[in-house]
Parts: sequence; C-alpha cells; structure tokens
Amino acid sequence: MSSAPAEVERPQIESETDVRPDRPWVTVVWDDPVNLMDYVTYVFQKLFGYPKKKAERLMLQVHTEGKAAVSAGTREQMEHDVQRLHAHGLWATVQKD
Amino acid sequence: MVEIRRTPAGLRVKLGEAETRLLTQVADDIDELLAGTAKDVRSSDPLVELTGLDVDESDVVEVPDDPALRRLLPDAYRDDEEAAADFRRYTENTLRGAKRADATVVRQGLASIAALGERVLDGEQADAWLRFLTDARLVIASRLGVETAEDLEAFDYLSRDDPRLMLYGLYEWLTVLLDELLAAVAS
Repeated sequence: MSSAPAEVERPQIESETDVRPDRPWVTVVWDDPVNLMDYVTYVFQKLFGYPKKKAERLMLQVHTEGKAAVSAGTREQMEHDVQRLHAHGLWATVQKD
Repeated sequence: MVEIRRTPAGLRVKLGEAETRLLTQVADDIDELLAGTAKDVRSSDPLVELTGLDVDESDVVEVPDDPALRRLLPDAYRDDEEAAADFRRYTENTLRGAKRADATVVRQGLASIAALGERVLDGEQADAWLRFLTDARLVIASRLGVETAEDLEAFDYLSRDDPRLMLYGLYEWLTVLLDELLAAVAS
C-alpha cells in the first residue's frame, strides 16, 4: 500500500478471524504498492461495517504483514466478499481457514 | 485546478478544462480496456437479461493476458486453478460491467463539469469516482511496470527526459485527486 501519511495507532496482536467450525472459509486481502492506506480503510468500513479502528488495524496488517484475513464465513459468503473487494480494486482471495 | 468540497447537496467537484479533458480520456481508455474481450453479445441475450444469469456454459473465460487487466480482474483463488477458473466464469462479466458502470458515472460527471464547470456527486456517485480512480491508478502502475513499493519510489528519481515521466505524472495527479475525494467523502 502506499501512504498518504495518516495518524494511525499501533497494530495489536490479536486474531481478527472467528475460527468457529461454521465459519471455515476466509477472505484474504493482499498488499499491493498502489492502493492508498486511507482508501483501503474506507473500503473495509464500507463493505464490512467495521468501526474505523478495526478497519485501520486490518489495513495495517495487510501493509506490514503482506496480507490479512478480513472476513470469515461460508464459501459462498467469502466469494461474495471477494467479488465486492475486486470491484473496489483490492486484491483479495478466498481460502479455507 | 481541482476543487472538491462537501456541500449540503453532496460533493461538489470542480475541474479545469484541461483536467476535465484528460480525465475523460482516462475514463475512455479504462472503459475500452475493460470492454476489450468482454462478450458483449451475452448482455443482449434475452435469457441473460431475464434471469440475470452471468454464465457462459459453452466455454472457459480465460485469464486476461494483459497484466493491467489481470490486476483489475484478479484470480479469486491462489492455489486452486479450477476454483479460480470457475469463479471467473461465473463472475468476471459482472465485474467488468460494474467497473465500466463506474467509468460511465465518471464520464457523465465530467460532461457536466465540461458544460457547467462543476458537478455535485451524491454518495453513490462519489464511491464510483473513488473506485474508478483506484482502477485507473492500478492500470497505470501496471503499465509503468510497478510491482513493489520500491519500484514506485524509484519513479521519484526519473530523469527529466525519461519517456515514462508523463505517465508517472498522470499517476501522481490521479493520486492527488483520489486523496482529495477521499478526504471530502470522509469529512
């Protein structure tokens, strides 16, 4: 991701992904050098209804670790999420948790 | 000149004549890129219209050869070619259509700006502009051969006679535009 400089808090080490057996698939967003950090945060808020802090934490995880699981659920739900993320220009894939 | 302000009616976008022409050209190019190998026949197929079904049973939808197009329409599975191909077969045409619809919203906005000097965008239109500017930056970065953050940083040190300078200038201008629009949307 590329930075329009922004004030953001430190990422916390915690799992964002619910791993209950009924949510066996995850949507993973991958880092790219083009998408603006603020834009990625905005997309996470808008598509998933996440509060700004959680959206920023996930954005930073993508940026620093190269990827982050941003949602979990059934395969169909994850394919829907990936399609919406692709429509917003983010690089996302579905995988089994 | 770029001016984006939040008003009670929505986001007011003002652009100069040259900028309006330039962005219109970019929107035309992106639309053309996405139209490329899309099977437009299907969109006029009455069965498709009736059912909204986005499936071509007859053949596989190939992964685009053009890296820029591949970035706009990426694989949805990393290590499962069959699942990726299936996903593409069922969804790629819809995704192309959504991105072309965004380009159309931008072109309509630009037509108003060309005629009246400004255009007020509602929330959905502003989102279409954000998505379009993102797609345009992804395409240009791909054309410039950018794959990593380091690749991108190297462009800050291009010599003045480098042939890529104009395209990189456009990339930077689109970044400013996206950043301003985003700030206005979030305000």
